[in-house]
Amino acid sequence: MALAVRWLLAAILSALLSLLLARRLARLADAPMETPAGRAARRFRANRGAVLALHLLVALVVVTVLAPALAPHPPAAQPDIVALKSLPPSLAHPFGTDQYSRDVLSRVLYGARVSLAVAVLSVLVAITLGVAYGGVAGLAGGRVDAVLMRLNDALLSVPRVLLLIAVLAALGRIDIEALVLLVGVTGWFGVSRIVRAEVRSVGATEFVTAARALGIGRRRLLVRHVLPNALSPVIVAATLAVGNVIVLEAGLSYLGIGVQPPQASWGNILQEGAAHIQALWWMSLFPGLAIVATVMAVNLVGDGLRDALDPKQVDGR
Amino acid sequence: MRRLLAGRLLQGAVIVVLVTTITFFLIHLVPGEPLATTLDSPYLTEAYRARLRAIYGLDRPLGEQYVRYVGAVARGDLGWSFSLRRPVADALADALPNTLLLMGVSLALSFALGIALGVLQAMRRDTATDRVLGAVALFFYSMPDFWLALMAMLLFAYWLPIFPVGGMVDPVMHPYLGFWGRIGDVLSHLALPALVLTLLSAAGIARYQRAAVLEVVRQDYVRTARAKGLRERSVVVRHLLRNALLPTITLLGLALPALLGGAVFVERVFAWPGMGLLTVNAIATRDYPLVTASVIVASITVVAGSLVADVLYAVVDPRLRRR
Repeated sequence: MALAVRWLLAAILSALLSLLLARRLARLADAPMETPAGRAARRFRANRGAVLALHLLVALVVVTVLAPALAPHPPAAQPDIVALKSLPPSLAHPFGTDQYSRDVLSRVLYGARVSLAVAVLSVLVAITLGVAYGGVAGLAGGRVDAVLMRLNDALLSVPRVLLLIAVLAALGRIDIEALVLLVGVTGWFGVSRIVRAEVRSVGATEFVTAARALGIGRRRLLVRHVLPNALSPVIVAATLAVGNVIVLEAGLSYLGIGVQPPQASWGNILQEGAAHIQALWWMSLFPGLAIVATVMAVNLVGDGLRDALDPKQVDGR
Repeated sequence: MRRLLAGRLLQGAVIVVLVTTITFFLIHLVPGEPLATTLDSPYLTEAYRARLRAIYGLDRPLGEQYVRYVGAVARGDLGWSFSLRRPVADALADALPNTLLLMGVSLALSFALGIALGVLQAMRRDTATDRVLGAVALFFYSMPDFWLALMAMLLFAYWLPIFPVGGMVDPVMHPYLGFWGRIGDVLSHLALPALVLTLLSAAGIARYQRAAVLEVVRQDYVRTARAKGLRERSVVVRHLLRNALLPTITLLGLALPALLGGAVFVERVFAWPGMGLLTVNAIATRDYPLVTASVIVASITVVAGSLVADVLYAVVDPRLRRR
């Protein structure tokens, strides 16, 4: 019973956060002064699918953060390896139990923490690297730019999944930090291209020329004047990349070279389920649905952001 | 035109060399030893281990190994596969046609399906059709490849046993079938993996195509065509689609890496004996020469794909040809 109360509290908390977020967006959108942020907020709010997805993500984050309080069992608990082994979904175990009698719902909840953390952190790594690389190339121009971008093209044409598979397989069992780093290090090639293009176009504007004429240092020029104005496409790319990496992590863990058991992630629950797909279908179905729902929400928000931040779009489309 | 082709070929070659270099060093800089599975055996003396390393050239400095490797690759020698105990080139040559069959079928089907759906969506913009198709496309776009493969297998191979569970041919009956029977056998094994790859790739193409059409709809010449009083059908086919289909060609270059990555997972789920399965197995056995070679071959495929896309684009778009 106490569990139901906790879920109820989590639902209330998530509703509250959603409400706050909606009000913040509304205040931005209805501000009397016309600002770029206000325009973007108004466009985003007009996109019902994106707003709905944003609220879904809020709920997801709440559930993920509170997973230890909301999970009916500890993720690795094996209460009764005979009687509770491989049970189909029921009221006591909504997602069933696995071949080691562990509660799949609890594992999916804890797995969400790992999967989402890996995705968000590795995208942060990728964005940092991409912004630095693209910023340097864009600002340097000339031969440096040409060489850096050729290298970038070469990196872009290495299939990321294969490269990761190769490196991870060579490394054997690795901890999560290393996984985050590797996924991040292989993920910035697209970002740097975007940043470089933005920096080139922002760099050609008059206010940058003005700043240059004032004798401002290169680094300060990049960090204070150019990058902030090149941010929108990076935000969009980062959002969409989070969705991508969730899928990528699942794939790597499915091959047994991502997040290592007994720690649960969405991918490695699927991996354990895949071997028994016919008998224990619930182990494959539910974590997969969690992935699809999350990634769909992330992509909807990303699409919404892209439309909202695109200066070419006219209001009301 | 010839200059464009020559330039792109050169660029492609440079990229392939770079990729080879990157892959080689990444794999060799990682801790762990190519011969680890063999050398870990407690029955080997240290002297014998050193001899084995010397035979495979693993005792040389990394730089020298790299130079030797590149020289060998240039001569078409991709090395020796430790796990399969046969030349890497032979193993790849066996697997490549199977992957090309799977990817070719999926590529053709997904472009047909994706373009059709994207155009339909754009033509019915902001209607229920557009929204439903958009949601369906996003649904498939947001899905891990292997999960869709697993679900398709569960549904169409176990619960409704219409298609075989995996493999490329029936292991028992295939040699006894006639010519057409064999083709049918392969097709029935091909159906599920191709379906999965097609759906996944078509979802992305449809999203892209819809945006491309909407971009063109806003153009002045479309308005002019309408103002001239042309029939709607003529406006759409002659003026709109001809231009909206152009950017889709570049997708050929973009879809290929995704499809190749997807093929790794889908081949593994359905045990389709292609490059993907070969690579995954090579990884499991730490077969470095095989892993390196398949990453290189995959990159060449990707580079070739984007080259073909660029050239095709120049062929169909007169504006690019002149430069």
